[in-house]
Amino acid sequence: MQYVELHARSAFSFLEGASLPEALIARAAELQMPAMALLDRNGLYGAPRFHMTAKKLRVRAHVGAEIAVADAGQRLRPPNHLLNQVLPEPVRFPVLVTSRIGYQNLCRLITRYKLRARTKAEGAALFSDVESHHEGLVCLTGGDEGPLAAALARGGAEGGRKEVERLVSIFGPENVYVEIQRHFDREEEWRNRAAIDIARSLKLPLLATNGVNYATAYEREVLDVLTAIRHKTTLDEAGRLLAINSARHLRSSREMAQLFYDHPDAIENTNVLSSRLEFAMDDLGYEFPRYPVPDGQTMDSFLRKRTEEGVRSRYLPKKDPALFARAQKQAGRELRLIEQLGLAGYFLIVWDVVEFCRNNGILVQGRGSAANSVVCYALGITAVDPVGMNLLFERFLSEERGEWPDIDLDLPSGDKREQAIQYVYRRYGELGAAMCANVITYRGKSAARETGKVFGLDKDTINQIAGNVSRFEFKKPTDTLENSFRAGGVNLQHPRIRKCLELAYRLQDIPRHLGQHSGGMVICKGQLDSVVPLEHASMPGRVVVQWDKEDISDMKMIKVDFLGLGMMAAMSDCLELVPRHYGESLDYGQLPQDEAVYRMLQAADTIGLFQVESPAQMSALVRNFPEVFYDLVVQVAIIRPGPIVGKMANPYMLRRRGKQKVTYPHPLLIPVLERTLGVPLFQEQLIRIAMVIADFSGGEAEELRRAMGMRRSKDKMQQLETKLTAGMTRKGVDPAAQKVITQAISSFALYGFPESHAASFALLAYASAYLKHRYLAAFLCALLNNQPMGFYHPATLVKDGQRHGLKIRHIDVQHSDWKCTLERLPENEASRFKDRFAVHLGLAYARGIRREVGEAIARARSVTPFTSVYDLARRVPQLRRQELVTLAQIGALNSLGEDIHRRDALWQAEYAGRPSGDLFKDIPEEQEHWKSTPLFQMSTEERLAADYQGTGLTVGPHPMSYHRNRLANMGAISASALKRLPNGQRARIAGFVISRQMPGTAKGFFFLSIEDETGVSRAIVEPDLFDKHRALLSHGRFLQVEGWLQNIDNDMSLKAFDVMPLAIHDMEVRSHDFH
Amino acid sequence: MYACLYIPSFPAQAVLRLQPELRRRPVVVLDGEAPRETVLSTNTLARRLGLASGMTRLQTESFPQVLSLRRSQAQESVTKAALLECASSFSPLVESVQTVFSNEPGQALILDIRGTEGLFGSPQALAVKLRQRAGAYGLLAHVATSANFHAAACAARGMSGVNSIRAGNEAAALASLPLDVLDLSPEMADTFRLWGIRNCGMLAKLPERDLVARLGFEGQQLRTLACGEHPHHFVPIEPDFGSHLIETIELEHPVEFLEPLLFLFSRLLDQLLLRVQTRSLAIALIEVKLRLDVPADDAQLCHTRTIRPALPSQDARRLLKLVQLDMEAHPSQAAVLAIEMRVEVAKPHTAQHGLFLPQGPEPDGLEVTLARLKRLLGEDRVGAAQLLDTRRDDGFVMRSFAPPPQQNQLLPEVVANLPAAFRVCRPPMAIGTTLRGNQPVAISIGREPFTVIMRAGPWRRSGEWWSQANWCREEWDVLLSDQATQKICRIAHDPSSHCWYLVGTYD
Repeated sequence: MQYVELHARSAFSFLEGASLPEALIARAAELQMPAMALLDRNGLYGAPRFHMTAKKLRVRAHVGAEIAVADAGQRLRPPNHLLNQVLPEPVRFPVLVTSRIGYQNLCRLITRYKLRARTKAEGAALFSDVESHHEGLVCLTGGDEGPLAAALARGGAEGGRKEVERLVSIFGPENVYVEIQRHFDREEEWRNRAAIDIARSLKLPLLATNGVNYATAYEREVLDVLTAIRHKTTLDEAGRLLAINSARHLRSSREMAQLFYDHPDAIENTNVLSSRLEFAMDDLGYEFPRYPVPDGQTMDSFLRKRTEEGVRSRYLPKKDPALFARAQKQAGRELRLIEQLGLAGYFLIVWDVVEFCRNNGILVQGRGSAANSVVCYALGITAVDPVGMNLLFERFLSEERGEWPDIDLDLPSGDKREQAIQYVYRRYGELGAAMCANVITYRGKSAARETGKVFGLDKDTINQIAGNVSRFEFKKPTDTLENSFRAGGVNLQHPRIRKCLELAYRLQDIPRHLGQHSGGMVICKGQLDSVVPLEHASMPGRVVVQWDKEDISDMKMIKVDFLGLGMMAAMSDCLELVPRHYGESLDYGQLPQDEAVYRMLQAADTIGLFQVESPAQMSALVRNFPEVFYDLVVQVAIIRPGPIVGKMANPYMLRRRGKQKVTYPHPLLIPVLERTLGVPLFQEQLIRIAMVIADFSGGEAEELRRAMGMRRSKDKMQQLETKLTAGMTRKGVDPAAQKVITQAISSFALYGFPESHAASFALLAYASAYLKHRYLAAFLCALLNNQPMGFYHPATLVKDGQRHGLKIRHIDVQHSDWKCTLERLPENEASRFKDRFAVHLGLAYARGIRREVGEAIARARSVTPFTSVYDLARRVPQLRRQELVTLAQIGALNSLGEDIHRRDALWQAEYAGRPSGDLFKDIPEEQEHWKSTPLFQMSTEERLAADYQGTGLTVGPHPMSYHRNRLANMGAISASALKRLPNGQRARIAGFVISRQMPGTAKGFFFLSIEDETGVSRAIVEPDLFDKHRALLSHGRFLQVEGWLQNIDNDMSLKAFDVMPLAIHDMEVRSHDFH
Repeated sequence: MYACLYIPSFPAQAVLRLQPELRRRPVVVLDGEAPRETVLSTNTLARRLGLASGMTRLQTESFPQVLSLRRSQAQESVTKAALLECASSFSPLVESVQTVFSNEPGQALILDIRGTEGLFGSPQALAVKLRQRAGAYGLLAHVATSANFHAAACAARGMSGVNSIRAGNEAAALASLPLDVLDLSPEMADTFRLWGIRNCGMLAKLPERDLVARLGFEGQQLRTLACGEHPHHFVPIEPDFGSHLIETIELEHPVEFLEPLLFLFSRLLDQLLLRVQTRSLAIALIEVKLRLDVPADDAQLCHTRTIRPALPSQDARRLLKLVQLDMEAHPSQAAVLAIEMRVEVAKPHTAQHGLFLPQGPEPDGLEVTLARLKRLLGEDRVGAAQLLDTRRDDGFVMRSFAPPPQQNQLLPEVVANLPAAFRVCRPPMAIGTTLRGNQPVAISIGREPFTVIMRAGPWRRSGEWWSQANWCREEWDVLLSDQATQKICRIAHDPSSHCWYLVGTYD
C-alpha cells in the first residue's frame, strides 16, 4: 500500500518549516513516494520550486496551502500557567487543489485576505471568503494548527463535530477529509480518537498525514532554532514552544502503514485523494495582456505598422540605403518570428510604457539583449542600432528556446521610475500587475547572528562574530564562519559552541522573509491574482507576487524590469538644466561624436561618469585608448568577471596596443572575432562561434550558452558539448583550437556581457562623458542632486569638479535651495573659471537639516531675504536649535550680516535657537542689536573640520594642500607629480582614501584610491600585505603608501610594500568601500 | 584653605604601586570583556609612544614593547584606602572626588587644611610633604592648594607637581588650563569646541549674562569654576558605620554544644542591636563566623552561616531564634574557639495594615515557622512548587512563598483537555520489563509481578539537543494486573541507559 504525504510545510512557511521545498521532494523521491503535497502557511511561496524539482524527479507535486481563517477561532496555545506564551493566532485550514479552478480560487482567496491586511505578512480569511472560493478545493481537518484540534479543545467532542460539520457545509462532504497524525504524542492521540469518532458518525473519510515540517528527523534541530527565532527567545528559555520530539519528518509507506496499522483506510485514502488532485502547475493559465488595437487590425498588423514607421524614422535620416534595406529585411524576419511565437502583445505593451515615459518627459532606454532587436529599436524601446552594429538577434529571441524574451527598461531612479510603475498599475489594475518578490534568505552574517542569539551568546560576542564575517566580495578560504566564531573570542572546543556553529551553517539559505525585487514587474491578462497570490510589500502602495524572479521565469511568466539608474536621473535633470541655463538644446538621441570627449576618456578623466569611473575601468581606459564609439562598447564590457576570468581582457588590451599579434583560433572565426581583434568578449560572439564553427542554429547556440552558464543540467550540457565538438571536428578544427573555443564559451557564458547590453550602457557612458565635457556645472549639479549613485562620494565629485575649473559655492541660507542649483558667475569671475556657471550647494548637503526645514528656508527667503540669524529663526519656526548651530558651523549663516564669521553666527544661533516662549516670540531682544561677539574666528583647520563634519565635503582648498610641505619633507609626492615618474621607481603617496575594493576576481588583491589636492592615485596591495595591515587598510582614513611605481601604457599604479597611517587632524572624510 | 591630592591615571598607578620594577616600562591597563578590551589607563612611557585610553587591544598589540595588564578593582580599592589613610594623617577633614581627566579615570582627595599651619607649615610646605608621603605609598601625585575648593581640584588635575594658588589669584592661575579640568558634559564640550573656547581663561572671559542666556545655569557654573570662584559645601568622608558592625568573642575553652553558644550569640546580638537601634536602623543580615578547634592546615577552619531575615528587624528574640534554627539545621563540625558576629543594617520595616483586609499571618512568626520547617525537611523542600516550562518530567523548582502572579486577562484560556489525576513517583522507580516486539507485556515493581493487560504508546519526548543535558524518553500508559488488583500506570524507557522506570500511577 503506497502512502502519499499530503500535509507538509517547507521553509517557505517562514520559520515554521526547516527544509527547502526541493529537499522535501527529493526525500519523497528517495522514499519512492509517487506524489506529495506542499501546504505552506498562507501562500504558495515554495510551490514553483517544489513543482520544478518534482518534475525532474518524476514525482507528482500537489498544490495547496494552509489558510488562516480569522472567525474559526484561535489555534491551540500553551496553557496559561506556562511561562512562554504566544500571541493568539487563527486556526489554519489545510486545503488542497484538485483542478485549475481550485488553483485559481486558492490564489484569489489568499490574495483577497493578504491585500485586506494592513501590513505585510499578515492577514486571515473570513468564512465568507472561504465560502466564495471553495470550488476545486479539498479541505483537511488539520493537525494541531487546524480547526478540529482547536474546536476539540474549546468544546470537546461535540464542538469538534460541529466544526467538521461546518467544513462539510462549506466544501461538501466529498471534499472534507478527517486528518489523523501520529507523532507519539499523548494529547494528539486523544484528538485522533475524537476525530475518528467524528469521521465515523459523519461518514467522512479518514486521511493519515504526518504534518511534515522537515525532510529528515535530523532537521528538527533547525526547526527548533527557527521556532526560537520566531518567538524571540533562546533555546534554553523556549521550553514547550519547541518540538516535543523529532517525528515530523517524511516517512516511508512502510513506516506509515505500521503507524496506522489500525486504520489502513487512512493510508489508502492518501492514494485516493492524490488521484483526485489532477492539477499540476504546468499550465497556470497565464496570458500576457492583449494590447487594444483599433478596429480592423490585429496586434500583429498593428505592431508591423508601428515597426515600419519606426524603421523609416530611425534609418531614413541616416541616408544609407543599404543599411535601410538591411534593417527592413531584419525587421521583417523578426516580425515573422514574433508573429509565430504570439509575442506581438508583449512588444506593444512595452512600447506603450515607453511611449508613456516619452510623453511625460521620463528618460527611458531598454537594456540587455533587447537591444539586439531592430523591432525594439524601431519602437524606441532601445537606442542602439542593431543592424548598423551588426548585433545578433538570436541572443534575444529564438524559435527553439521556448522561453519568453526579457526586456529590461532603465529609468531615472526616484520619482520618475515610480511614475512609470504606477502607470502600469493603473493601466492593468491592482490585480493585473505586481512586482516580483525577492526571497531573503539567511546568509553568513545573519545566520551567525540569529543562531548566536538563540544559543544565548551575549550581544557583544554576537556583534564580534557577525562583524568578522568578511564584508568584501572576495572570500578567502579562511573566511569561514568557523574563523569568525574564533575571532569572536568563543571557545570552539565547547560542545555547545560547536553546535551553535553547526546550526549557523545549516541555517544558511533558509528563507527568512519576502522582500521586493528591485524592478521586476509581472503583468497578466485578466487577473494576475488567479495565477499567483499577491500580497503587500513593506513599501506603501506596492503589491508583490509570492514568487521571485527565477520562479516567475520557471513558470513561464513574462516580467518587465523597470530598473532605476541614478545616471538616468542625473541625465534627466540635465535635460532641464542645460536649456534653461546654457540656452542650448540637448537631445541624447543626437549627441555628436566629439573628439574632445574621447580625449577625456583616453586620459581616464572619468570621475562621475557612468560605468567607466572605477579604478579598474580607469586603468583599462588608458590602455585601450578609445577612439570611436565601438571602443567604448568594448570598454564597458571588458572589466567584467567573464573576460577577466576567461583571461581575455589582457590579450585584447595588448593587441589593441600592438604588443601582441592578432590571431584567430580558426580562419572561419575571422568575421566573428575581427571587431574584437580575435579575442571573444561578448556573448553574441560565442553564439556566432557555435553557429559558424559547429553549424548550430541560432537557438541551439543560445541554448548552449545558457546551459554552460547556468550549469543547470549536466546531461543537457554534455549533449550540447558533444555536438559542438562533433561540429568542430567536422569543420576540421584541430583539437587545441577546439579546447580554446570550448573554454572561451564556458567562461563567458554566465558572466560576459551581451554586446547589445554593452552598447546600451556605452551610450549612457558616452552621454555622461559628453555632459561632463560640455556642461560640467549642470552635470555635477545633477550628480550631486541624485546621490547616492556611482562609485565616489560627493566630496570626491566636488574636488574633481574644482580641479576641472568649476566654481562651487558653499551652502548659504540666503542663496541655497534644498537641492543644488546653478548660478551664473559675474563677469569678473567668469574668466577665471572654465564653466560660466557655478554650482551652489543645496541645503540637503547640511547634515541633520530636515527637508521640510530646508524647503521652508527657501520659501521664506523668496519673500524677502533674511536680515539676521534671529530673523531666520523667527521666520522659519521649524528650525531646531541644533539645525541652526549646524548651519552656523558650516558657514551657511555668514551672509546674514556684515563681516559675520562662523563663530559670530554660532554665538547668535545659540541664543536665537532657544525657545523664548509664545509671549516674546515676535519681540526683538536687546541681544539682537548687539553685533560684537566674544568668540574668535575659526582657524583654517577648524573650518575644514567643521565643513567635513557638517556637510561631508569642503568647497575650500583640499585638506591635503595644507600639509603639502610636511608631506614633501616626508618624501610623499602628489598624484600629478606621480605621473611624471618612470616605471619601477620607488615612491610614496599620501592622502585620504576615496575607495577600497577587493573584487571577487582579484584573488585577494586589494585596490585603494587615494586623493590629494592634485588628483587621485591608485595603489595595489598584495594579499599578504593586506593581512598584515587589515585594520588600517579597511578603516584608515588618511594613509601613506610606499611602493614601486607601475607605469604600463600610461596606466599608473603603485605596487605597495608598506602602508602607514597619516597623522592628520581627524576629519569625517568618507570612502566608498565595495564589499 | 584646601589641598587637593590628585592621582592621575589611577587604574595604572594602582596596578603598578606594588610592582616598581614595571614602572620603567610602557604599561597600559585594559578593561572590558575579552577580546574586546580597550585601554583604560596608561603610564607616562606608554603615553609618549602615542598610546591613549580608548584604544583597542589590537591597536596596543602593534607596539611590541608595551606591557598590557588587566584592570584590578581589588588593587584600586586597596590603593584608595591607603590614599585616604595618607590624606587623613594631614587633616581629619577629607572629601573624595571621582574624576575623569584626559579620558582616564583619576582619583582626587581634597583636604580642608585650615589650622594645620602649626603642624605642617605653610600650605606650600604641606603640599610638598603630602606629595612626598603619597610617593612613599608608591603613588605619583599632583598636589595643589587654594582657598577655593574647586580651584584646588582643577589645578591639581591640570598642573603636575606641587602648586599653590594665592587667594584672589585663582582665575589667573587656572587661565591656561584646558577645559577638560572642569569635567564637562559631552554636549558642553562640543559647544565649547565649536566656539573655539579651549581653556579656562577663554571661558572666564565670556560675558556672564550672555553665557547664561545661551547655556543656562550650567554655563554660569562652568564659568565660575573657570574663574576659581565656584563655592563648595564640604562633605567630609565619615567613618563607614556599616563596615564596623562586628562583635567578636574569644572562648576560654572549646565549646561543642549549641546551647551554651546561644547565650553568647544573644550577648553579641544585643550589643549589635543596641548600636543599630541608636541610629534607628534594623538588622537585615547576620553573619556568624565560628572559628573551629581544628588543625591549622584544615580547610574547614571556620564555620560561617549567613541569616537573612525576610524583613529588617529589631526584635532580638526573633533574630536569635532564626540564628538558633539555622545553627540547628547546619551545626558546626567541630568545637568552637571564637565567635564573630557581623550584621548589616537597613531601615526598619513598617507596614500599614488595612482595616478591611484579611489578617495574614505575622511576617515574623511566619518566618520562624518556615525556618523550623526548613530545618525539619531541608532547604529545597519548603516553599511553593513552580513548574518549569519544559517537557522534562522533573521540570519544577521550589520557590519562596510569594503572592500568586496576576492572571493575564488579555488571553482567554483555551483548555486543551482535563488531565486525570496522576501520582508521580519521585524519584522514578526502576522496574523490570518483559517485551514482546518492543511492547511491554509484563513488568515487575519491586518483587511484585504484573501483567500488562492494555497499553497505549509509545509516547516519545526528547529535548535539549543543544547541550549536554540532551535527553530522550519513550513512555507507555499501561493497565497492570496481578491476581488481586488492577491499576493504570505510566512507565518509561530511557534509550540512553536502557532502563525502565515507573513514572507514576493514575488515580
